[in-house]
Amino acid sequence: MTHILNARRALGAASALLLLPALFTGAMTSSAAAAPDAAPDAAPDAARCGTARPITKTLPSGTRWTMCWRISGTKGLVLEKIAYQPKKEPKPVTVLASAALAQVNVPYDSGEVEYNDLSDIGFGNTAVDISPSECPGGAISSVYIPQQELNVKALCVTTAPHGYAYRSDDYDAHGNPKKYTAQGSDLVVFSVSQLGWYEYVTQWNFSDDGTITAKVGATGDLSPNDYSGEGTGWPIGKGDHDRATSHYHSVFWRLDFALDGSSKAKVEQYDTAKAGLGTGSAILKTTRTAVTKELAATSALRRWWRVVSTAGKNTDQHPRSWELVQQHSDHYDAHAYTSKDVYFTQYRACEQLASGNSDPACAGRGTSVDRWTNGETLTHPVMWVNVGFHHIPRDEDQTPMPMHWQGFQLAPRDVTAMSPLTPDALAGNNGQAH
Amino acid sequence: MTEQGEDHRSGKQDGARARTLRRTLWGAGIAVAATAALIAVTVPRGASAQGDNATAGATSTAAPGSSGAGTGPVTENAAPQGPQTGIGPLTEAEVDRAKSIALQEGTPRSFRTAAGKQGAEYLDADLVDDPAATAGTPRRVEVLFYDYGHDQLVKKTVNLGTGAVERTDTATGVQPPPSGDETRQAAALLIKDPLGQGLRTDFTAATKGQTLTSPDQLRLRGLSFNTGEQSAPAGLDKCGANRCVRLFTQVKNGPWIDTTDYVIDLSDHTVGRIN
Repeated sequence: MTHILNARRALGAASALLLLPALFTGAMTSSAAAAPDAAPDAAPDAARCGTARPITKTLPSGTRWTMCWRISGTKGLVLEKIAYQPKKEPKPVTVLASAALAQVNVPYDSGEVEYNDLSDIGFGNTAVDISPSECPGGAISSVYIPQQELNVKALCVTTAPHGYAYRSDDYDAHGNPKKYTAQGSDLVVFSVSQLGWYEYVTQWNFSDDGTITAKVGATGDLSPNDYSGEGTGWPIGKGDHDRATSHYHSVFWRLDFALDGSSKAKVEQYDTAKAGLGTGSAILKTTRTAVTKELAATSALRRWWRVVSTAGKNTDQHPRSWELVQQHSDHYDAHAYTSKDVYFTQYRACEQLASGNSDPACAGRGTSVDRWTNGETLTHPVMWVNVGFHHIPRDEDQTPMPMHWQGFQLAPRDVTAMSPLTPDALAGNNGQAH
Repeated sequence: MTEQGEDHRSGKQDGARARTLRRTLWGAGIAVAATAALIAVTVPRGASAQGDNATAGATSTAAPGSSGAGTGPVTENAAPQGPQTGIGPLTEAEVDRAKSIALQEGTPRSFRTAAGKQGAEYLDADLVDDPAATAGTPRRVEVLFYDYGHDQLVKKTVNLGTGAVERTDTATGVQPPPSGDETRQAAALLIKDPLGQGLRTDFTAATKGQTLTSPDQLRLRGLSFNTGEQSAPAGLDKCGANRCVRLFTQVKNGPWIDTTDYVIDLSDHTVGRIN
């Protein structure tokens, strides 16, 4: 038994690392993506979105994801009413009312040019057709784009392998060696936007272990127009002549939670600090800070946040929550709004873009998320995640530029009493053995 | 920038032409950078928009390792049509109806379109963000207009269930993406302007002697430009209060022409330069 427990603890501790591959693998080109039945299910809960066709998928391990979708001219792909139903849950667990991009800010290090790709151009306005070869084994959905006055094959829904879900060399009830291992899989949803020479993939992976991965990939070409000097550019091509200008992609996502169907949720910040020496190692102590008012926060060592349900608990009577799992980010410190890594604001319908927010219903409130973070009490929190990537070009980034990804994850924390992937034979091992 | 930079997305012919341009114009590209530098680094986007054959072919040559990808059956869903309920993509019929309801209400006599006519310039339509929406919720659409008479953004919230305009909000100093019409008008202004000399020259070079007279000869993408949203002053202080547009410009089935330094002010019909 001790052996089993140790294995479980180690898995828990390593969860953030295990999540990484989903963020950085190109799911689209994987051979297993062409697995049979990768197209979305016929939907028993088709009425969930109204007349529109929902995205629904039961992954091979039994986890089911459902959501509604649309394409906004500025925001691009908008996913709504996202619900997670692990194998043994009787009903879908609603996670998010809405999840979408909220800005892609691209300033060049030369100080000469800057783009705000959502608020100035729009990811839906620039949505392009996805061809079958780009959506292996999946379903491509067309949608009318008002600004283009065209139907565009803008959405791909498919599945992709995730690699190891778990592995454990163990013993069965009779003391015989038994290996428990499984491969995980993801529901993959994406759209593609073409902004000048850049092409962006807006992608969401919904894993069978409950993890949600949001990421934006940039490909296409480096700017053909931006060449610079030493310190602001990197030589590409022969010799030291053409220094492609370094630049930023600061990507914002806006997440409006609806945990267990309720917009009322609590936000908590956790920090872990050294607290002396024990007999065998340093003591680290984790403290919780309730975030009751709007917050603009910076990442720090061992700091994380979660959004906690006020409406649902798992069968262990722990409140369900979703944890923000950050990946590396270099925030851009030349704008106030990109100088923080995460914001929590009180919901307002007119606050949709993290900067350049042009909704006239928000007139007088300022146009960026830093302005809206002004001390209001949080009863309906909206999370804004800022992930900055400082791109110093290299020879290999020439045409077509290999996709570079940036993003974050939401991981379930106490949504279910154990992992939804726990094999049946181990399902009774909940809590410390007695 | 080098000979190695072949682009698999283009047809052979286009690729060859792009590379030829790169050779012949690369040296000159530096010289004309002060105007509008044609840098034929990229092949026509049009090539990838011409259908799956070209794209699929390019993908298979570019990705020999991805043997398993693209072999599974792919289903395609047509765009939804007609009236809808609940949450999901706006249909063409809904956009047309929302626009028509918004326009029926009329605008004050002093409102102006980009062309200076009475009325307001239509920009875009989007579904209202409503976290409480359910499958049966009537559809509500935000229809955006720009009033050039007062340089203000006008949002009309239309209820497609009742056919009524529920509210109208206006604001100055905010500039959403330009419409296709505004983008073409901006390009027409740049083509005529003295600052459009570089664009005209590069177009002629890229097309072996044709004269640029119309936005229809270009593939365009408009960007709104608001000085207040930049991380440094760009010297175009009116932009933001005025409606200003930048352009990504490409010769149709040809290379990019860099026009991103030019800012076309649609409110006062002037062309300016960043930096």
